[in-house]
Amino acid sequence: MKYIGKKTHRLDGFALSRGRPVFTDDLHLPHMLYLKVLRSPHAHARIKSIDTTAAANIDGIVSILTWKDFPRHYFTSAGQGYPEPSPRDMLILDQTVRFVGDRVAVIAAESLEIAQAALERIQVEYELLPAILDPKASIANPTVIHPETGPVDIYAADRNIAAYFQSELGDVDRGFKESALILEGEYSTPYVQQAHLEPHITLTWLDANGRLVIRSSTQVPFHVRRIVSELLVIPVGQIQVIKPRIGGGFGGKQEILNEELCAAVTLKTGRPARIEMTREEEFYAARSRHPEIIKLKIGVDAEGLFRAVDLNILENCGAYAPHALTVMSVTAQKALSLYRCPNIRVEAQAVYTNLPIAGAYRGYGTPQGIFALEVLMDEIANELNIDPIDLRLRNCQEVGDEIPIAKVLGEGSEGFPIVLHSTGLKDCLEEGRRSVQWQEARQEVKTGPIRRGIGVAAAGHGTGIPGIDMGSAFLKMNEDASFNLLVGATDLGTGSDTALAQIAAEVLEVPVEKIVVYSSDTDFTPFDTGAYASSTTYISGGAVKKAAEKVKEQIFSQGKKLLGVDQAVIRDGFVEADSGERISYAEICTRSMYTDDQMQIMATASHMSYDSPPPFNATFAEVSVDTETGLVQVERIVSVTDAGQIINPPMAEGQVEGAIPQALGMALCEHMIFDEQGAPINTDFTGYHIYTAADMPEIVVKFHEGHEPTGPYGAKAVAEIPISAPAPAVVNAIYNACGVRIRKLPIQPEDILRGLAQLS
Amino acid sequence: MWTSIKHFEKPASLEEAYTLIVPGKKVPFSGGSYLTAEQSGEIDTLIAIRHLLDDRIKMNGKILTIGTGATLQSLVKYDWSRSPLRLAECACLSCPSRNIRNQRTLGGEIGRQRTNSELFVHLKALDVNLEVIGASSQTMSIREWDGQGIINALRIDMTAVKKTFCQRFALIPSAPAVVIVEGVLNKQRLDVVVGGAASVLSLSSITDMGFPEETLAQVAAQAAVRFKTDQYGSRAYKEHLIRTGLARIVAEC
Repeated sequence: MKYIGKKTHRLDGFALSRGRPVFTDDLHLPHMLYLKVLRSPHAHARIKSIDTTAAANIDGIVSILTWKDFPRHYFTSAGQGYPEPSPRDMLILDQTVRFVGDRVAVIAAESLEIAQAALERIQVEYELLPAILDPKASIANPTVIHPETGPVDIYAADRNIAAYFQSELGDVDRGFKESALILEGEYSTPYVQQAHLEPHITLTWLDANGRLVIRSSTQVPFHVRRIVSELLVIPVGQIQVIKPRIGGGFGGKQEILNEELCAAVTLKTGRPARIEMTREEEFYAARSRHPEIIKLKIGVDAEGLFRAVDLNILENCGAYAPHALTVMSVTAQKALSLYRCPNIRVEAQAVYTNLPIAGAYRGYGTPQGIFALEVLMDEIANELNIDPIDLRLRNCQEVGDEIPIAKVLGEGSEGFPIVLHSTGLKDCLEEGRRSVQWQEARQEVKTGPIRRGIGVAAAGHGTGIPGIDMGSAFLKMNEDASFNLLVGATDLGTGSDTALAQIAAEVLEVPVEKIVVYSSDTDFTPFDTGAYASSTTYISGGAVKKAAEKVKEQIFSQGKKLLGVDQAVIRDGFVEADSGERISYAEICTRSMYTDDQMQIMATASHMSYDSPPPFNATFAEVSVDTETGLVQVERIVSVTDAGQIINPPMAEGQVEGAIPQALGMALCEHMIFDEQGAPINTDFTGYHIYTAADMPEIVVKFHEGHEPTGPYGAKAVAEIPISAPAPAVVNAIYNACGVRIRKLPIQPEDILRGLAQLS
Repeated sequence: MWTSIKHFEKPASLEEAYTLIVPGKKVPFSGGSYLTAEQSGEIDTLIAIRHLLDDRIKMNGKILTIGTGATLQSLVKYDWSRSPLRLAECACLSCPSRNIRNQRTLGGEIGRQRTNSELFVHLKALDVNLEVIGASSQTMSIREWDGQGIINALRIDMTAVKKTFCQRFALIPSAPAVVIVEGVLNKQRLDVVVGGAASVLSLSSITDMGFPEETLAQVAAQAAVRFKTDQYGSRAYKEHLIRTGLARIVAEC
C-alpha cells in the first residue's frame, strides 16, 4: 500500500501550528451576547423563588432566562443515536436542582463582565432537600432524586435506579461448582475528568435567511442539531451546526451541554450569543467518568481456565443519567468478552446521587471493568502459581470465537452476534513479555526501602457500535485531479480527517495532498453519528472507501471512453490503454466537466456495520514503591496494541501516548472529591492532579501487525483501547514490588503502608 | 476578565506604594500570577510595583542579596553550582510551569506565604533577612515577618549555611507536595521547617547533633498538628511522612 500505514503530515497541522483562527472561539461576531449560567450552590434543593429584578436592572443585561421560560420537556444531554438509550430525565432549566453546579438561570449580557456582575444580583430562595452522596445508600434511600412523573425511561425512579440489566449465559452456579479455585473481590474506580484543553464553547447566530447557526466544540454535530431542534421546537432544516477544530474531547463533548441554552438566547433576542465554560465549571458542571463499584467473582479449573464469572456493577451516574445504561453495559461487555468462559452472569444498576453528572469518557466503561478483571486475574495467577501472562494466554479468545455477551448487551438493548475475525492479543502479550524481559524483571530481588515491580494487564474494546453507528461521505473530483472529500465524521483533534484522506488517496491512487477534507457541517457534509465509540476510521473510513471506489470507477469509465478503448488500467494518475496511450486524471475530469460526455465525477456512500471488531492491548508497567511512604512512581510503560492495520503510525502512537497519562492519572492521582454537602473541592489543576510532561514515565509504544477483514484496509480502532490496561498493570506491578494488593483507585499511598503493615 | 478592577495606580516609589495599600481592596501587583488567577472580586485597585523592584541577584562578600523583582525563572537560570542553596530547584518545584515562572516574582512568592511552596519553605528554613518597606523601612528575619509591607530584597548570610536538605512527598512530581521537610544545617544546629498541605509552617531547631529518636518524633508530632485528614491521607499518615523525611535528612547529615 502506498499511503496506508505511512507517515503523513496532518491536514490541519499547518493551520494549527501557525495559530490560525480555526477554533470555535476564534470567531467574534458583531453585537454578540455573552452568556453566564447561575449554578446551584446546593446539592439538592427546590427553588422557591427567583428574583432577577436587580440583575436585570444592570446596564447591559439583555436577557435572563429561568425555569419559568422553558416548557417542561424532558430530554437527555447524551449525544447518542436516536432513539437515545439514556433516560430522558433532564429539563433545560428546572425548578429542582440536583447537584452543586446544576443550572438555575442563564444571563445574556453585552459583555462577560456584565454577565458576571449580574450573577451576583439574582436572588434565589431555596428549599433544601436531603442529598444522597453515597451510591451504596441511594437505592434504599427515602429521598427520591427524580420523583416527578415527566421523565421517560428511568428504570425505577422511586428507588433512584436510573438503569438496570441482568443476564446469564450458561449455568454459572454449576460453573462455580466445577471450579478448582474461586476468587472474588470488590473493586472501585473514581470520578475522573476528561480535562480537555479547550473547554466547552458554543456560538450561535441567525444567518441572512433567519436560520439558526450553531458553531460548537462538539463531537456530535448531527445529534446537536436533532436535540436542539426537538428542545426549541424548530425544524431540523432550520438549523446548521458547524464543528470547527476541537481542542480535545475524550467523550466530554459527546454531550449537548450548552448549545440549547445559547440557541434559546439567540432565538429570543435575534442576536449572536456565546457561552464558554470556565475550567472550574468543567470540573463540576460538565461530565466525568462514571465511578463504579464492581464485585467480581471468577471460578477457574486447576489449569486456570475460566469456568464461571459473576459480575455485579454499581454505577454512580450522578444527578442525571446520560450514558448511564450504555456505559455500564460496555463495562460488562468488555469485561466479559476478553477471555473465553462458558458461564457468565451479570447484574448492573446505575443509581442517582446528588453529585455531578457522569457521562462519556474515553473507554466508556471499559477501564472500570478491565480494572476489576485484570487485577483479579493477577490474584488468580498468584493463587495458582501460574505466570500472569500464561494465565491470560490460556484464556484468550481465538479467531472464529463467538462473543455471546455481545448479542445480549447492545447499545441499551439486545445487541448483535459478534465473531472474532482477528485477534492479536496473544501476540501483544508475547511481544510485551520479550520487550520488558519479563522473567528477569519479575524475579528481581526486592530489598531496601524502594522496591521495583512489574505488572501486566490486557484489554479489549470495540470498534464502533454495531448496528447503530453510521457514517457517510461525499467525494467529488476537480479539474486538477484534486478531490473534495466531505464527511460528517468529527475530527476532535485525533487526526481522523487525515486518516480518512489517506483511505481515499489509497483507493484513488493519488497523493494525500490531493484530498481536500471538509468535515462536520450539517449543511454541507453528509450524516455521521459522530466521533465516539472508536468508530471513525472503521465506520466513516468504510464510507470514504466506498465513495472513493465509486469515483475511481467513474474515472476509469470516463477515461476508457475518452481513449476509445474497452480495456485499460489505472496507473500513476492515468488511465492507460493496452497500446500505451494514456489520459491523465486531470484531463479526464476537465473534459468530463466541459466537453465530453459531460458529468461531475462524484459519489456518495454510507457505511454501517453489524460487526465491532475488538482491538486488543497488553500493557506492562514497571513501578517503584517507596515502602517507607507508600508513594509509587511509574518508571516505564510498554503498551502493545492490536488495532489491525495502522492507517497512520505517528497519529496512532499519539493516541496511545495520550491515553496512558489519563490512565495513570486515574490509577495514581486523579480523583474528583466533594465535601459533606456535595460541593466539589478540587476544581482546578492545583487540587486535581493530571499527569504532565514532568511526570511522564518512559513510554514504549508497539503495534501488532494485524489485519481485520471487516475494516477498511484491515483497520480496527485505536483511540480508546490503550486507556484501559495501564491502571491494573500498575496495581499488579505494585503487588509484584511489595506484596500489597490494591483494589481501589486512585491508589492511596497510605493504603500501601497499611498493606505493608499487615504483611509484616 | 477581572471585572472588579476599576483603578490602576503607578506610584513613584515603594514608600508611596505602601501608603496606597488597603488590604484585600487595593493591592500591590508585581508579577500578578497569583492575583490574576484568583481574580478576587473584592479587589478594585492594582498598585503596580514591578518597575520599582530590584531584580538582581548579587553576592557581596558572604552576603547574597536578591531583589524581590527577580522572577522565579531567573532563580532557575542563575548559577548556584558552588552554593548549598537550592533556590533553583525550589523555584521549579514551587512553580512547575516555566511560563508562570517567567512572570512570578520572588516577592510575590514570599508575600503569598504558601505553605506548600518549596521556595517559601526553603527561605524560612534558611532564615533569610527581608528588607521590608512599611511604615518605616526595616530589615527583619523572614520568620518574624508578619506579612505587612512590601518586600524589596532578601539577604542570606552564607556563612550561616553549611548544608541544606529537602524531603518532598507528592503523588506525582508536578503536584503540590503533601509534606515538605526542609532542613538547614549550620555549625550548631539543624533548623527544620515542615510545610505542605499544612495550615501553617512548623519550625524547629534541633541542637542535639546526635539526633535522638525521641527528638525527631517530637518534631514530627508538633508539625503534624498543622495537618488534617484529607484526600491525601490521615493526619497520622502525614506525621509518618514527616518522620520519614526527618530520618532521611538526618541520615544525610
